[in-house]
Order: sequence, then C-alpha cells, then structure tokens
Amino acid sequence: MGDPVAIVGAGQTAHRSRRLDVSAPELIDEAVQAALLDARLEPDGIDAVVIGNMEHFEGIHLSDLWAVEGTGGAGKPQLKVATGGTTGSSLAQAAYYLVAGGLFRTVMAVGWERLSDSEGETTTGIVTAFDPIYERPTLAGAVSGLAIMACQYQAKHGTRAEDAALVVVQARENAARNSHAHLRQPVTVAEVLASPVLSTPIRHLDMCPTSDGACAVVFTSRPGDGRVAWVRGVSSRHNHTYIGDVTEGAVSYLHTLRLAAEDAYRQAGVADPRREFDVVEMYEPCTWAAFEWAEALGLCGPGEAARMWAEGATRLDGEIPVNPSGGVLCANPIGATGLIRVAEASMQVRGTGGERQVAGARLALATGFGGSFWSEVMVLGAAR
Amino acid sequence: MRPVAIVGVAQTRHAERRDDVNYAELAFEVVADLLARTGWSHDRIDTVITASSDFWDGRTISDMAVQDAVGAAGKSASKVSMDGTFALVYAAARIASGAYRTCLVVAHGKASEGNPRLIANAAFDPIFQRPMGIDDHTALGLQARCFLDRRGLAPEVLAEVAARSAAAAATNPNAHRRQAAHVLVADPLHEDEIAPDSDGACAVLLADAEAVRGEAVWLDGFGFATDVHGLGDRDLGEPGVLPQVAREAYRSGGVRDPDRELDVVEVHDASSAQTLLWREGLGLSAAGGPAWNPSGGAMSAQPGFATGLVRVAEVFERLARGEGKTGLAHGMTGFVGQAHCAWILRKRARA
Amino acid sequence: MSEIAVRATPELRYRYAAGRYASVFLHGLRDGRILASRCHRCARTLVPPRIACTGCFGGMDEIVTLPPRGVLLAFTQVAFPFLDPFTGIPRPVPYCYGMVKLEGADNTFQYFLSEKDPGRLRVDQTVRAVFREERTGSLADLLHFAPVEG
Repeated sequence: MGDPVAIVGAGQTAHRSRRLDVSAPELIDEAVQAALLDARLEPDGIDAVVIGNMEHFEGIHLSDLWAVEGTGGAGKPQLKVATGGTTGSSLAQAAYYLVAGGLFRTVMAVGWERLSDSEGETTTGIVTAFDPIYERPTLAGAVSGLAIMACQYQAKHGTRAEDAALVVVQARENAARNSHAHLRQPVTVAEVLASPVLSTPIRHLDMCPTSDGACAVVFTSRPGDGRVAWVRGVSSRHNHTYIGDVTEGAVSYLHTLRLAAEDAYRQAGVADPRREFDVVEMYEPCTWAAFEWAEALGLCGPGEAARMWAEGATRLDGEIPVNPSGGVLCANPIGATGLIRVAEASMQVRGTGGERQVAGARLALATGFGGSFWSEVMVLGAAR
Repeated sequence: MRPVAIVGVAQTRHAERRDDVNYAELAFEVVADLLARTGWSHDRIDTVITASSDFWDGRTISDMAVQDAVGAAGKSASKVSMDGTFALVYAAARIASGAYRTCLVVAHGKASEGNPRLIANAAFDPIFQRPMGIDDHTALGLQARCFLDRRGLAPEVLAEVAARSAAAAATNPNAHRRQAAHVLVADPLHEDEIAPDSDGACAVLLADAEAVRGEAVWLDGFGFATDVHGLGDRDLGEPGVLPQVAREAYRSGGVRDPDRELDVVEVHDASSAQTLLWREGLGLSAAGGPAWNPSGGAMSAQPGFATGLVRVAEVFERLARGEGKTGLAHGMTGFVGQAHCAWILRKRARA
Repeated sequence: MSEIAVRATPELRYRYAAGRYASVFLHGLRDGRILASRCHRCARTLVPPRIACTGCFGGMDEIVTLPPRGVLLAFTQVAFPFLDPFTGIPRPVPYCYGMVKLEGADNTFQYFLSEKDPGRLRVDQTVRAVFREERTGSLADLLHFAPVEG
C-alpha cells in the first residue's frame, strides 16, 4: 500500500446564508488560514492544493482559477475536483491519494460555495445536473430526488413524518454547540410538521439549507508531534447516470453507500460499525436520508433507524453519536459540505471538538452524498 | 511517484460538430475503441477518473452524464474539472497509492453544444474583467500582441507558424478538418492562427508495473502549477508558470538537456503565438531539437478538456511506434496559460 | 463601509445533441411506443435506451418495445416554486411525478403522473402510459402515467 496519510489540521468559516462581507477568495482564505493555524504550518508547508466548487452556483466558469489567490495556490500545483454534492468528500479523497501515492508530502483540500451568489436558484442549478431530455422536465432538484427516496422508505417501513423530524430536532441541538453552523436555533417536531411541504413527504424543515462557506483540511505523510487523524479507509461509488437506474428501481436504502462503506470498512478492519465507530459525520441532505444512510452503513437493520434516533442512541452522549456538528441539516455550502464531514470527523479523533467532542473518540466515519445517489466514505482513526 | 505505465490510448476523430452523439455516446466510443485496441476487458479497470467542464457541457456535475459510458458502475470513480493532463495526475496518484492497479482516464469536450466565447467570458472576474466583454480569443489577442512586441517580431511570423501547424495537421487522421480563413479575429490573431473549437474525446489507460511486460511507455515525470488569475497580474508576453512546471517535469523525469533528450513534444497551443511562447517556456531552443507538435498540436483540434490528453495520446503513439524514446506532453487549463501541466513519457523496460 | 454586490446574468444557451439512442427513443414515442435497449451480454433491459449496459458494460444493441404498463415504485408531489432552467420562468406547481417500473424493464422510468393529489397515489400501484393525440418526437408525446383502477 502507499504512504500512510494523516489529517493534521482543519479549518472552516462561519457558514451563513449570505456572506456578503467577503469575496470568494476572502471566504476561502478564512478557512485556509484557520486550517494552517490548526496544522501549525506556514503556507509554504503546503505542497499542493485540491480545490472544489460547483461553479454553476457562482456563475463563474473555472472558479478554481479565479479563486486561486484565496487558496494560497498561486504558483503551486492546484487541482480542481468537482463531483456535485460529493465534491467535498471527493476533495478529501483526492488529497489523500496525492499524498498516499507519494506525489506530494502535504496537500490541502479546500471546498467552498457561495450559494447566495445564485440568489436562491440552487434548485435550478441542481436540475441541470440531470439529463436534459429525460429527467429535467420532472425533477425539482435535490429536493424531489430525495422525496422519491423518502416515499419508498416510508412505504416500505411505515416511518412517520414525526419520526423523521427527530433527526433535525437533534441536529439543531448539536449545532447549538457549533459556532460554524448556519442553522443553530432549536426546532420542535411540531414546527417541522407545520413547515411547508416542498415535495411530499419532505417539508421545509426536513431539508438542508443552502449556505455560504468554506472548509480546508490538511493531509500529510509527515505529521509532526501532536494528535492526528489517520486515514484508515477510503472508498466511493459513483454509479449511474439516471436516477431510474439506481438499485434497479429500489431506493429505500442507499446501495452505493453500502458498497462504498463495505470497501472502506474492509480497508480499515472494521467488522461491526455500530460498536466500533465512536462517532459518525454523515452527509444527510434531509431527515429521511439519515435513516437510509444509517441502515446502509450497517449501524442498524432495515427499518430500525427511526428507533435509533427515538431512543437517543445518536445523541452526543449516545451509543453512536451522529453529526455532533449539526450535519448537513445545519450547514450546507455544497462544495464544502462533504469536506466539513471529514474535518469534523478528524476533529473528533484529534480531540479538538470542543463543546461537541465525543468523549474518547478514536474511530470516526465521514460520508459524502450527491449526484444520482452517489456515495463516498472515509474512515479516520487515532491509530495508524 | 511509484511507476505508472500507459497501456493504451484512443481518441475520436475530432470535428466541428458531433451531432450524432450525446456525451455518453462520445465517451463510450473512445472507451470501446481503447478496450478493443488493448484487448482489455472493462472489468480489468479498477477505477476511473474523468475530465469535463460543467459550463461547456451545460450540465452541473458533467461527469454524471458519462459515468455508465466509461464503465464506472461498481467502481470508485472521480473527476477533475480541468484539462485531461491534470486528471492524469490524479489517476497516476490512485495507482501509485497502491489502492488500484489500473485506472482509466477519459476526457471529453463538445464546443458545439454551447457558445465557447460566452462561456469563456464567464471565466473572467465578474467585477473587474467580464464587463469588458473579454473572452478566450480576445485574451489570446492581447497575449499575442505582448509577445510580438516583447520579442520584436512582425505579425507575419504568426502566419508562418500557423502554416507549419496546418501542414502537420494535414497528416493527422484525427484532426478537425476546417477551412480557417486569414481574417482578423482578435488583433493581431487571424482565424487560422487560433485553435479551432472542436467536439471530441480521448481515453488513456494506466496500469502499475505488474500489468506490464517488456518495454512500455512510462509516466516518468510531471509538473503542474497554477498562476495568478488576473490578466493584469501576469506578464502576458512571458510563459507564466510554464518554465517552473517544465523544470519540475524535467527534474522528476530525469531530463537534463531537453533539446537533446526529448524526441517528441506535443503542446496545447491555443494560438500560433503560444506555439512559440510555450516552446520558450519549455526551455527548448528555437530550432532543432525534438519533433514539435507533429500532430499539428491544438491547431489540429481543440476538444475542450480533452485537448491535453490528446497530446499525451499523440506522444504515446509515437513512442510506442518506436519514433523516439522520450517525449513531453503538455496541457493547460484557463486562459492564456494560467495553469500548465507537463508529463515526461519514456519508452523503456521496467525499472 | 457598506457591502457592494455586483449583479451579473450570464445568459448561456445550449443545444444538446440527443444522440443515437435518444433519437431512437423519441421516434418511438412519436409512433406511440416506449422503447428500451437490451444488453447483448446480460440481457438487462433499460429504458430509456442507452449505449452502455449499466451492469456489465456490454453494448445495448437490441431495441425492444415495452408494454405501456408498469408499477409505480415511488412518487412525489412537487409543491415549491423554482426557476426552471429550460424556460427561465418558475415551473408551475403542484405536479406529481414518479418512478415507473415498466413491464420487462430492469430499471425505472421517471415521468409525470396524471394524479395531482399524492393522497390518491400508492407505491406498487399499476399505472399505464397515456400518449398525446398529436405527437412530434419529443418526450412530451408521453402525456403522463395514470393509475389503473382495480
């Protein structure tokens, strides 16, 4: 295998619905400076940069080249990796492979998005990810794609709207301890059920927000002293072009997440994810998705996820804490979102989680989601 | 970097428009061709890296359109939103990490489905540069004027360079056949001194040392870097970060005297001025030295992000045929060469 | 100092080539038929037809006609307004669409449903395709899928 790779630093911005106080390079710089500080590195300690962003949302073609001064990448090797919703996690993977392959010693992954630039037309942009002939006429962005999935899950398991609502109730409780999160106010199940329906069965408060924000994570094969998070498993599955092809029609569990997780678990030597992981930062774009993802990840059996949440197993002090950061439901700067999961998971393993630290966390799981139900998985551990 | 070899390459016949195929069909064409040429079955391919542009394709997550067509189902795949030469870096890293033994790289671009000039304008800074209506052609014009001025050259020099590129392109079966006129497009550049907007795709198959027997073409060295963005922040009459990129490619590829050691060089020259400027940037003397853009370079076809990967394919084919041992393939992303990437390819036995 | 924001509206138009297989499918719709492609290697049957088999990467050379009937595997009523990238104006809502497993297909087809009230739709309902009278070879030749009573 290649060189062992560790995460030695992470930084992120304050994610908000509009960061009109900064230009994109300035927004990126905020995250980059925080990551360098956390990693105790100077800019010239970074050998290469991997940057990601969904440029249609900013309306800037080659947005990486335009924003290069914010990353510190000018004059350096810089790669752009952009795969839609999975961009952030794809960035982490690319940075990992560049280091593991011995191409560079220290690589910084930078994800960013300013969804406010597209003035609320995020769904419009997302619709263009799909086939212009067959899918765009019906699809209403990520919302309806997720709604289709939730419809199947609900029909299969009889899960109720109030069960799903618990996911965001808990997410907001966690986000109250995370100053970077965008949405931090508590919500109640009643409020979720009273919020407008976007696409049945998904209501407004079931769905993640759109945020402006950036995140940077430093990967290296030469960590100094201090606690690091070793990358123990990496995988992804970007199956399919059309949503109709997904799992031969059944989307009540996320097939790609199951496959990617099995591969990553095998690499990391994880046999019992529910017991072995101390914390999970999953990319849950809506409440219902959290249930599907938990089952695909093997954290519980089919149809059992709602009970996990209801019984408090996923709380910060529970048996398998999920999204102590507040998750995607509380902050979603799309090009950064998957990377934030990796950053948060690395913080847990390195013990820098502050108020949202899971006590004694040594093995963490970070997932990414996007596209036509694509998945990415990264396992981080305190031990190499 | 651990040893990575190129097992095979394929490219489409580039054209002004391929209305007969959508992106998936275009990518499949080149992947099927590659598998047929190499005799490999698709399940020998462990992982896939694609290269495409969301703006060019008019599709956010442009990689999604080609996932099935490149055989990515059931495999880990990712995408680099830059020229294919940069995607090659990521692909090589996946193999060098030991996680994957083989990797397919597929790049595509269809200039015909959008308006390349408007798309190019959208790449410039929205506050300071876009309002001038600048696009890739006008930026090339600015660069050409700076270059001619700096070197004290007459504009007719560009016509001579363009004629040499066209003569080479005439021998290239994959070249985008066009009738380019000698009319001024962006002073001092004429239409026939600017690379065409093409539809096309290219695929390259990489493998680790275990998959290779006897002599093969190896990715022996590389360099890449991104310059600052603003046109006014760069000296357009100079080759930007290319000399630094070339130095790193030569160093990692063990090339000490490029004029003597390189047998063939293929560069992405978006204009005839770049044909000269990039030659300088690579540290090659003005005459003699390696075979220079024998395919006609980008002047023969410019299918978006596939352009640099086509350069890799052209160098590979010549080395594989025995027309030399060592070659350099160059690609770019961004305008007037903001980001450059250079690969050293060498035909040799396993180390 | 107040924040400055600069508005820009890049207007980018695209002309997507439908390609070989979509052209076959759309001609099929014009003729009132739903066509699928079948893999010569593993016999997987996929609609819409496409060039590469999603399972085994075989060529999908065989074109077959599917019965205009299937099972509704999932559905949703889209209720929020958003700007349609096709038209540049907000898409009219509410509307329902779903994933239909057509008889003989190994995947599902995503399309509009006749029923606007999701309370009257059910997973596993049998649905049938309804074509327009006047057809031109576009996806809109298919009006919607309608639940079959009984």
